Amino acid sequence: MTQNWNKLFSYYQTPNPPDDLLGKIMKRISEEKRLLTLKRRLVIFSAGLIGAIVLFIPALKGVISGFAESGFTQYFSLLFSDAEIVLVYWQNYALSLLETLPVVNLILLLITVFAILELLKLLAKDLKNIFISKQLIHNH
Amino acid sequence: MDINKIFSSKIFQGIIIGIVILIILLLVFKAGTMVGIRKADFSCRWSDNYHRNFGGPKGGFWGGFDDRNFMEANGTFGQIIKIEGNVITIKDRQSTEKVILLDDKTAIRSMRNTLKLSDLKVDDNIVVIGEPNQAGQIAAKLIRLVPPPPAEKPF
Repeated sequence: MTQNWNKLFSYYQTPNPPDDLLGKIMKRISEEKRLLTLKRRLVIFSAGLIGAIVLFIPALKGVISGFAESGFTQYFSLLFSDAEIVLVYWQNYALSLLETLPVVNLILLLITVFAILELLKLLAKDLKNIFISKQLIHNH
Repeated sequence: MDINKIFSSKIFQGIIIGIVILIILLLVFKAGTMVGIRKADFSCRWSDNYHRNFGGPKGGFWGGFDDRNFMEANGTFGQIIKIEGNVITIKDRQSTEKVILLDDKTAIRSMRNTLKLSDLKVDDNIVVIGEPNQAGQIAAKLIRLVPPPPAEKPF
Protein backbone atom coordinates (compact mmCIF):
# COMPACT_ATOMS: atom_id res chain seq x y z
CA MET A 1 0.00 0.00 0.00
CA THR A 2 2.75 2.43 1.02
CA GLN A 3 4.69 1.51 -2.06
CA ASN A 4 1.64 2.34 -4.18
CA TRP A 5 1.42 5.77 -2.68
CA ASN A 6 5.10 6.39 -3.24
CA LYS A 7 4.71 5.25 -6.81
CA LEU A 8 1.69 7.46 -7.34
CA PHE A 9 3.42 10.62 -6.04
CA SER A 10 6.56 9.91 -7.96
CA TYR A 11 4.64 10.76 -11.14
CA TYR A 12 3.80 14.28 -9.94
CA GLN A 13 6.18 17.18 -9.85
CA THR A 14 6.48 18.92 -6.48
CA PRO A 15 4.71 22.32 -6.77
CA ASN A 16 7.22 25.15 -6.48
CA PRO A 17 6.15 28.37 -4.69
CA PRO A 18 6.57 31.57 -6.66
CA ASP A 19 9.95 33.23 -6.23
CA ASP A 20 8.56 36.40 -4.63
CA LEU A 21 6.28 34.61 -2.12
CA LEU A 22 8.58 35.12 0.87
CA GLY A 23 9.04 38.76 -0.04
CA LYS A 24 5.27 39.25 -0.34
CA ILE A 25 4.60 37.58 3.00
CA MET A 26 7.26 39.63 4.76
CA LYS A 27 5.95 42.81 3.15
CA ARG A 28 2.39 42.01 4.21
CA ILE A 29 3.53 41.28 7.78
CA SER A 30 5.42 44.57 7.83
CA GLU A 31 2.35 46.45 6.48
CA GLU A 32 0.13 44.84 9.13
CA LYS A 33 2.64 45.75 11.85
CA ARG A 34 2.76 49.31 10.58
CA LEU A 35 -1.03 49.49 10.49
CA LEU A 36 -1.23 48.21 14.07
CA THR A 37 1.29 50.82 15.23
CA LEU A 38 -0.63 53.57 13.42
CA LYS A 39 -3.90 52.45 15.03
CA ARG A 40 -2.28 52.49 18.47
CA ARG A 41 -0.91 55.98 17.82
CA LEU A 42 -4.35 57.05 16.64
CA VAL A 43 -5.92 55.91 19.92
CA ILE A 44 -3.23 57.70 21.96
CA PHE A 45 -3.54 60.93 19.94
CA SER A 46 -7.34 60.83 20.11
CA ALA A 47 -7.23 60.44 23.89
CA GLY A 48 -4.70 63.27 24.09
CA LEU A 49 -6.85 65.49 21.88
CA ILE A 50 -9.94 64.85 24.02
CA GLY A 51 -7.90 65.62 27.13
CA ALA A 52 -6.54 68.84 25.61
CA ILE A 53 -10.04 69.98 24.55
CA VAL A 54 -11.37 69.22 28.05
CA LEU A 55 -8.50 71.26 29.58
CA PHE A 56 -8.99 74.07 27.04
CA ILE A 57 -12.39 75.02 28.48
CA PRO A 58 -11.25 75.75 32.08
CA ALA A 59 -8.08 77.37 30.71
CA LEU A 60 -10.18 79.75 28.58
CA LYS A 61 -12.47 80.50 31.53
CA GLY A 62 -9.38 81.19 33.63
CA VAL A 63 -8.04 83.68 31.08
CA ILE A 64 -11.39 85.47 30.75
CA SER A 65 -11.84 85.76 34.53
CA GLY A 66 -8.14 86.66 34.89
CA PHE A 67 -8.51 89.60 32.49
CA ALA A 68 -11.73 90.70 34.19
CA GLU A 69 -10.41 90.45 37.76
CA SER A 70 -7.01 92.00 37.15
CA GLY A 71 -8.44 95.09 35.43
CA PHE A 72 -6.43 94.53 32.28
CA THR A 73 -9.43 95.39 30.10
CA GLN A 74 -9.91 98.69 31.96
CA TYR A 75 -6.31 99.69 31.31
CA PHE A 76 -6.37 98.41 27.75
CA SER A 77 -9.44 100.50 26.91
CA LEU A 78 -7.42 103.64 27.77
CA LEU A 79 -5.41 103.02 24.61
CA PHE A 80 -8.49 103.92 22.57
CA SER A 81 -10.01 106.60 24.79
CA ASP A 82 -6.84 108.47 25.84
CA ALA A 83 -4.26 107.50 23.24
CA GLU A 84 -2.34 110.81 23.36
CA ILE A 85 -1.80 110.69 27.15
CA VAL A 86 -1.05 106.97 27.04
CA LEU A 87 1.67 107.63 24.45
CA VAL A 88 3.24 110.31 26.64
CA TYR A 89 3.30 108.05 29.70
CA TRP A 90 3.75 104.83 27.71
CA GLN A 91 6.21 103.34 30.20
CA ASN A 92 3.79 103.57 33.14
CA TYR A 93 1.01 102.39 30.87
CA ALA A 94 2.98 99.40 29.57
CA LEU A 95 3.95 98.44 33.11
CA SER A 96 0.30 98.68 34.21
CA LEU A 97 -0.68 96.30 31.42
CA LEU A 98 2.13 93.88 32.25
CA GLU A 99 1.32 93.98 35.97
CA THR A 100 -2.29 93.01 35.31
CA LEU A 101 -1.61 90.41 32.62
CA PRO A 102 -2.90 87.00 33.83
CA VAL A 103 0.36 85.32 32.82
CA VAL A 104 -0.16 81.87 34.33
CA ASN A 105 -3.66 81.57 32.85
CA LEU A 106 -2.37 82.66 29.45
CA ILE A 107 0.47 80.14 29.54
CA LEU A 108 -1.98 77.33 30.37
CA LEU A 109 -4.33 78.40 27.57
CA LEU A 110 -1.54 78.63 25.00
CA ILE A 111 -0.20 75.21 26.00
CA THR A 112 -3.65 73.65 25.50
CA VAL A 113 -4.06 75.43 22.11
CA PHE A 114 -0.61 74.24 21.08
CA ALA A 115 -1.45 70.67 22.15
CA ILE A 116 -4.78 70.71 20.28
CA LEU A 117 -3.22 71.98 17.04
CA GLU A 118 -0.27 69.59 17.18
CA LEU A 119 -2.47 66.59 18.02
CA LEU A 120 -4.86 67.49 15.19
CA LYS A 121 -1.91 67.61 12.81
CA LEU A 122 -0.63 64.22 13.98
CA LEU A 123 -4.12 62.71 13.84
CA ALA A 124 -4.67 63.91 10.28
CA LYS A 125 -1.28 62.53 9.27
CA ASP A 126 -1.98 59.16 10.92
CA LEU A 127 -5.44 58.87 9.39
CA LYS A 128 -3.95 59.45 5.95
CA ASN A 129 -1.23 56.85 6.59
CA ILE A 130 -3.81 54.30 7.81
CA PHE A 131 -5.88 54.88 4.69
CA ILE A 132 -2.83 54.39 2.48
CA SER A 133 -1.72 51.28 4.39
CA LYS A 134 -5.18 49.70 4.09
CA GLN A 135 -5.22 50.38 0.37
CA LEU A 136 -1.79 48.79 -0.03
CA ILE A 137 -2.86 45.69 1.91
CA HIS A 138 -6.03 45.29 -0.16
CA ASN A 139 -4.16 45.71 -3.44
CA HIS A 140 -1.74 42.92 -2.62
CA MET B 1 -9.54 69.11 0.07
CA ASP B 2 -6.66 67.40 1.83
CA ILE B 3 -6.61 68.48 5.47
CA ASN B 4 -2.93 67.56 5.68
CA LYS B 5 -2.16 70.43 3.31
CA ILE B 6 -3.57 72.85 5.88
CA PHE B 7 -1.40 71.37 8.63
CA SER B 8 1.73 71.43 6.50
CA SER B 9 1.09 74.98 5.24
CA LYS B 10 3.41 77.83 6.17
CA ILE B 11 0.57 79.70 7.90
CA PHE B 12 -0.08 76.77 10.24
CA GLN B 13 3.64 76.38 10.95
CA GLY B 14 3.81 80.13 11.63
CA ILE B 15 0.91 79.90 14.10
CA ILE B 16 2.59 77.02 15.93
CA ILE B 17 5.93 78.85 16.09
CA GLY B 18 4.13 82.00 17.25
CA ILE B 19 2.39 80.13 20.05
CA VAL B 20 5.66 78.52 21.17
CA ILE B 21 7.46 81.89 21.17
CA LEU B 22 4.59 83.46 23.13
CA ILE B 23 4.67 80.65 25.70
CA ILE B 24 8.44 81.08 26.09
CA LEU B 25 8.11 84.87 26.44
CA LEU B 26 5.37 84.53 29.05
CA LEU B 27 7.38 81.93 30.97
CA VAL B 28 10.43 84.20 30.96
CA PHE B 29 8.27 87.15 32.04
CA LYS B 30 6.70 85.07 34.82
CA ALA B 31 10.13 83.91 35.96
CA GLY B 32 11.31 87.53 36.01
CA THR B 33 8.34 88.69 38.07
CA MET B 34 8.79 85.76 40.45
CA VAL B 35 12.41 86.72 41.05
CA GLY B 36 11.35 90.34 41.54
CA ILE B 37 8.59 89.34 43.94
CA ARG B 38 11.00 87.17 45.91
CA LYS B 39 13.40 90.05 46.24
CA ALA B 40 10.68 92.54 47.15
CA ASP B 41 9.08 90.10 49.58
CA PHE B 42 12.41 89.41 51.23
CA SER B 43 13.26 93.10 51.46
CA CYS B 44 9.89 93.95 53.00
CA ARG B 45 10.09 91.14 55.56
CA TRP B 46 13.74 91.85 56.33
CA SER B 47 12.92 95.49 56.96
CA ASP B 48 9.78 94.71 58.99
CA ASN B 49 11.52 92.13 61.19
CA TYR B 50 14.92 93.76 61.44
CA HIS B 51 14.77 94.18 65.22
CA ARG B 52 13.42 90.72 65.87
CA ASN B 53 15.47 88.49 63.62
CA PHE B 54 17.31 88.28 60.36
CA GLY B 55 15.39 85.30 58.94
CA GLY B 56 14.32 85.17 55.33
CA PRO B 57 10.86 84.58 53.94
CA LYS B 58 9.05 81.40 54.88
CA GLY B 59 7.36 79.05 52.48
CA GLY B 60 10.30 78.12 50.22
CA PHE B 61 11.00 79.17 46.66
CA TRP B 62 7.64 78.09 45.20
CA GLY B 63 5.81 79.92 47.98
CA GLY B 64 6.26 83.07 45.92
CA PHE B 65 4.51 81.71 42.82
CA ASP B 66 1.24 83.39 43.72
CA ASP B 67 1.76 87.12 43.20
CA ARG B 68 -1.78 88.23 43.97
CA ASN B 69 -0.71 89.72 47.30
CA PHE B 70 1.42 92.27 45.47
CA MET B 71 -0.28 95.40 44.28
CA GLU B 72 0.12 97.03 40.90
CA ALA B 73 2.41 100.02 41.24
CA ASN B 74 1.91 101.90 37.97
CA GLY B 75 -1.84 102.06 37.92
CA THR B 76 -4.99 101.10 39.69
CA PHE B 77 -8.73 101.13 39.28
CA GLY B 78 -11.50 101.21 41.81
CA GLN B 79 -14.01 103.33 43.69
CA ILE B 80 -13.22 106.68 45.28
CA ILE B 81 -13.80 106.49 49.03
CA LYS B 82 -12.22 109.79 50.09
CA ILE B 83 -11.13 113.09 48.53
CA GLU B 84 -8.89 115.39 50.58
CA GLY B 85 -7.31 118.29 48.77
CA ASN B 86 -5.30 116.82 45.91
CA VAL B 87 -5.21 113.37 47.46
CA ILE B 88 -7.74 110.72 46.55
CA THR B 89 -8.15 107.41 48.31
CA ILE B 90 -9.67 104.59 46.32
CA LYS B 91 -10.73 101.04 47.11
CA ASP B 92 -9.81 98.52 44.44
CA ARG B 93 -11.41 95.16 43.62
CA GLN B 94 -9.40 93.40 46.32
CA SER B 95 -10.72 96.05 48.78
CA THR B 96 -7.22 97.46 49.10
CA GLU B 97 -7.06 101.17 49.73
CA LYS B 98 -4.65 103.12 47.57
CA VAL B 99 -3.62 106.75 47.82
CA ILE B 100 -3.55 108.75 44.58
CA LEU B 101 -1.75 112.08 44.37
CA LEU B 102 -2.88 114.64 41.84
CA ASP B 103 -1.03 117.66 40.50
CA ASP B 104 -1.58 120.27 37.82
CA LYS B 105 -0.41 117.91 35.09
CA THR B 106 -2.85 115.15 35.99
CA ALA B 107 -5.39 114.71 33.22
CA ILE B 108 -8.88 113.83 34.43
CA ARG B 109 -11.21 112.56 31.73
CA SER B 110 -14.77 111.42 31.47
CA MET B 111 -16.07 110.35 28.08
CA ARG B 112 -14.64 113.07 25.78
CA ASN B 113 -14.62 115.75 28.46
CA THR B 114 -11.74 117.00 30.55
CA LEU B 115 -12.69 117.38 34.21
CA LYS B 116 -11.26 119.14 37.25
CA LEU B 117 -10.48 117.56 40.60
CA SER B 118 -13.58 119.23 42.03
CA ASP B 119 -15.72 117.27 39.56
CA LEU B 120 -14.71 113.98 41.14
CA LYS B 121 -17.04 112.60 43.79
CA VAL B 122 -16.94 109.83 46.36
CA ASP B 123 -18.25 106.53 44.87
CA ASP B 124 -17.02 107.43 41.37
CA ASN B 125 -15.15 104.59 39.66
CA ILE B 126 -11.82 105.56 38.16
CA VAL B 127 -8.88 104.07 36.29
CA VAL B 128 -5.52 105.61 37.17
CA ILE B 129 -2.19 105.51 35.35
CA GLY B 130 0.71 106.97 37.27
CA GLU B 131 4.12 106.74 38.84
CA PRO B 132 4.67 105.03 42.19
CA ASN B 133 6.56 107.07 44.79
CA GLN B 134 8.66 106.15 47.81
CA ALA B 135 5.68 106.59 50.16
CA GLY B 136 3.67 103.84 48.46
CA GLN B 137 1.38 106.31 46.72
CA ILE B 138 0.66 106.74 43.04
CA ALA B 139 1.34 110.11 41.43
CA ALA B 140 -1.46 110.15 38.88
CA LYS B 141 -0.79 111.10 35.27
CA LEU B 142 -4.18 110.11 33.92
CA ILE B 143 -7.49 109.54 35.68
CA ARG B 144 -10.47 108.33 33.71
CA LEU B 145 -13.96 108.02 35.06
CA VAL B 146 -15.47 104.67 34.11
CA PRO B 147 -18.84 103.04 34.69
CA PRO B 148 -18.98 100.75 37.73
CA PRO B 149 -17.75 97.23 36.90
CA PRO B 150 -20.47 94.65 36.38
CA ALA B 151 -21.12 92.17 39.17
CA GLU B 152 -19.09 89.01 38.66
CA LYS B 153 -21.09 86.28 37.00
CA PRO B 154 -20.25 82.66 37.68
CA PHE B 155 -19.39 80.64 34.58
